[in-house]
Amino acid sequence: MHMTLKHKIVWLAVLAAALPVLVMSILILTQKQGLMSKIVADMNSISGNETGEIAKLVHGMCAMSNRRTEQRLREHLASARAELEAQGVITFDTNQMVWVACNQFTRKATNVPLPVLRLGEARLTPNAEFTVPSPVVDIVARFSQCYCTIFQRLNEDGDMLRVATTVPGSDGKRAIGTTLAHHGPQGEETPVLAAVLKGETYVGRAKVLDQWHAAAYEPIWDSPAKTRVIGMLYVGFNLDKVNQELREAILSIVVGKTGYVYVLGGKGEQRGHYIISRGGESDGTDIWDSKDPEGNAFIQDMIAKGLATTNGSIAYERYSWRNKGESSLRMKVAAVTYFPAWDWIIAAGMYEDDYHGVLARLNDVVNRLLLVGPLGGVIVMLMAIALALAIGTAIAGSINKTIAVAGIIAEGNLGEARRAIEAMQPAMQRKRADESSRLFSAVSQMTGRLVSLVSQVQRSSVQLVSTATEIAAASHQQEASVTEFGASTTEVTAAVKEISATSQELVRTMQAVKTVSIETEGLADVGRAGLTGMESSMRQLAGATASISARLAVINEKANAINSMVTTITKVADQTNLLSLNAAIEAEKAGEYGLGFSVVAREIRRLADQTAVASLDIDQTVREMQSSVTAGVMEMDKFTGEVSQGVRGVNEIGLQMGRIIEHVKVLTPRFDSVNEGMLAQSAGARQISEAMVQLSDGAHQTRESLRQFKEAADQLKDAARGLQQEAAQFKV
Amino acid sequence: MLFVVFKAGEARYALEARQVVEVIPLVTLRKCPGAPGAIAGLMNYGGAGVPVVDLGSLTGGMPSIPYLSTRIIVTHYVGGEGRQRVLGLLAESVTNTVERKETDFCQGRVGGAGSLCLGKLAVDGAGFIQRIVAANLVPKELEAMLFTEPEGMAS
Repeated sequence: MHMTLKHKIVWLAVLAAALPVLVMSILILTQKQGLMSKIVADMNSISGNETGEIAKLVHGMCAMSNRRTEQRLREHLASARAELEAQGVITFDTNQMVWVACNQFTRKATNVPLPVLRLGEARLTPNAEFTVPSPVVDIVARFSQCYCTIFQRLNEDGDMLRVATTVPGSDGKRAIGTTLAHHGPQGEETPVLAAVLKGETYVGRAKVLDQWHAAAYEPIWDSPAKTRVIGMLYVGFNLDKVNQELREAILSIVVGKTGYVYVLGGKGEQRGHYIISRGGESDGTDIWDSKDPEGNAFIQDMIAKGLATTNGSIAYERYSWRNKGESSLRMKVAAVTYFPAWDWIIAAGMYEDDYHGVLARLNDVVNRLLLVGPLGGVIVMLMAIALALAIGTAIAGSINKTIAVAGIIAEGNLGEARRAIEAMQPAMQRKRADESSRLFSAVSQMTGRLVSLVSQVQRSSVQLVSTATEIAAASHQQEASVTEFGASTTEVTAAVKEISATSQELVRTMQAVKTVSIETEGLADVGRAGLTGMESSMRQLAGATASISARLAVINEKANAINSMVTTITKVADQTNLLSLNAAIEAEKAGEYGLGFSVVAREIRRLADQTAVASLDIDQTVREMQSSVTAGVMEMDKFTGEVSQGVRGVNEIGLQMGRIIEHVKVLTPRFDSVNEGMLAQSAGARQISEAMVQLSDGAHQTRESLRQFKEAADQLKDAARGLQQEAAQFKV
Repeated sequence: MLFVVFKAGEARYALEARQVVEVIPLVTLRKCPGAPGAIAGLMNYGGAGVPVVDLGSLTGGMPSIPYLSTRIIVTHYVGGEGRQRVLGLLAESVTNTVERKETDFCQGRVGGAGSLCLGKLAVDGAGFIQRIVAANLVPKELEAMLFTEPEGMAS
């Protein structure tokens, strides 16, 4: 690229200003992605930690609440046991009593006769009314603020019957007469009776008449032997009421900005059901089959992960979720843990986009940096351009003026150059030390010397041109006359050559014609001889054909004779057949006498038949032969006619050939005489041609030397004129 | 029993040899104008005019073609009034006899024109042979027309 000095200075300044800005922008851009992803990762880990901590906290709260409940139950159970023992010895009355036992699972009522349980003096007979006091249970309930029940063993399997209770049934009365079966509908052991029948105390969750209770059961032994469990004692209270505080505490927890804690059932019939939901809005809803847009059953995943945790350890699940009243799905991360005592899956979930605000702000800052950097760069660049323009103009100005003077000298306008130098002289003297001013003085000296040299050259070149022009004119005139002479001799030579060539060609043609005529004669002779041979062969052929025809006629006659013989044979065979037939009939009529005769008759008939068949064959063959012979005779006749016609044609051709040969023989000597005349003509023409060529060569040589002289004169004139033109370019 | 075998139309037939007087070559017949198609004419047999029935016309509707083997079978014929007469039967391929027992014939009439005269069937190497019953050869209405010769002429 061609650039002036000024432009180079400006570009240098622009590059110096723009490059740092460009590099900075690229650096920010490349680092931005890494920075953002790192921040996102950090935030995700923070949110994971937070949800995990909260899930652990809730797990701890549950554990604490559970311990407190168990402790309370054990205290209640101890006071109930004390009350029971205070009543006296437990015995059975001799009277039997019929209870209507209602199965807790099946609701089926059956009549069961049982011995009446006695606690000291008190007999446990059915009492469904709360207005009528029941022993032991009423006192325990009043003092311990809990439910109390005494069970009586129903059968050997260990099913238990409520015989005294403070637990209200669905009708608002005491729920006596209901049973607790040892084995469930599928035959599985109920955990409560499994423990009690072994003589252990059960403390934990239990379903009492459709409600989950914090419950404690302990066995009642027979006295005094204490070898058999005859019933059991129960104390408990509604778990929902106990859990109310815990529930409110859990509902008040906020994870992150808008996240929350929720609890799902882990096993059995409450599997996948909400136990505690956000704000308590969806408690009891079954979300086991919930799926995210990709079709993952994430609730099932989450419960499976939760069940796998032990002792409050944490598992994480990431999924998309939509709450009630929200329009779009949001990505959520949940920390999950399992509290086995209550079969609770505790999940602390928070929304990932809670932190997206921070990310967006960070992104804004980086983007603004990307915008402001280049803008500053542009401003600095504009300032640099202005400064560079000013300096560039100052440096380039004086050099440009000197260059202009040198340009004028190069064009040859020396007078104008001298005037320009004189005009610039004062300005240049002011800055004497500068490189540009020294350049200027050298140019002015060079101009002075050139002017004197050019004037001298111009004068001498004018004289030289006029001399050369005179010489060239003289030589040109002489050359024209010689050229004219040369042209006429050349024309004559060409004409003579043409004559010679034509006559030679004619001689060649005549010789060719002669050769052809001699060949023709020879060929015609051969043809005549061949025709004569052919004619004799044809005659022989005609004779042979006639004899074949005669023999064929003989064959035909013989065949006719055979035919008549065959007819005779056939008639004889027919007669023989008829005779034998009649003979056979007569033999039959003769009965036994004719038997031998009939055999002879049959044999004769057979021979006659064979004869008839053979004669038929002969007849057929002879007929075919006859038709072939007839066809042969006809063909031979036709052939004979064609042969005799051929003989006539051959004769005629032979005569014509003889005539042709005679004519050709006459022609040959005439060709010879024509040929001789032609040869003499050709030789004469060649002699004339040679003389003309010699004359033409002389003229050509003269013309050639004249042309060389003229070229020399022209060259001299051109050189003088060139010198004059060159000198004229310089205007002195 | 011996049978004379012949062809009438396309089918082959057999006539018991005992009923045959003799087999003679095809002689020139005198035509009977106005007679039904099956009556080929009268032949001179021993000086008497004997009617000749063309079996080809009678059985198949096709008159017999006069080959060398086309012959006249002269048979005994018992007329309507129990009189013994002679009748000529014109048939093709009358060249052979065949030996068959009565039991070789099986029941199974193949009917057609003049089927009254056709009897049981037997088989030989060339196919079926059907037996001809000479007694039924001439329809009763033709009989009066055919045998009108004076008493002395009957043989």
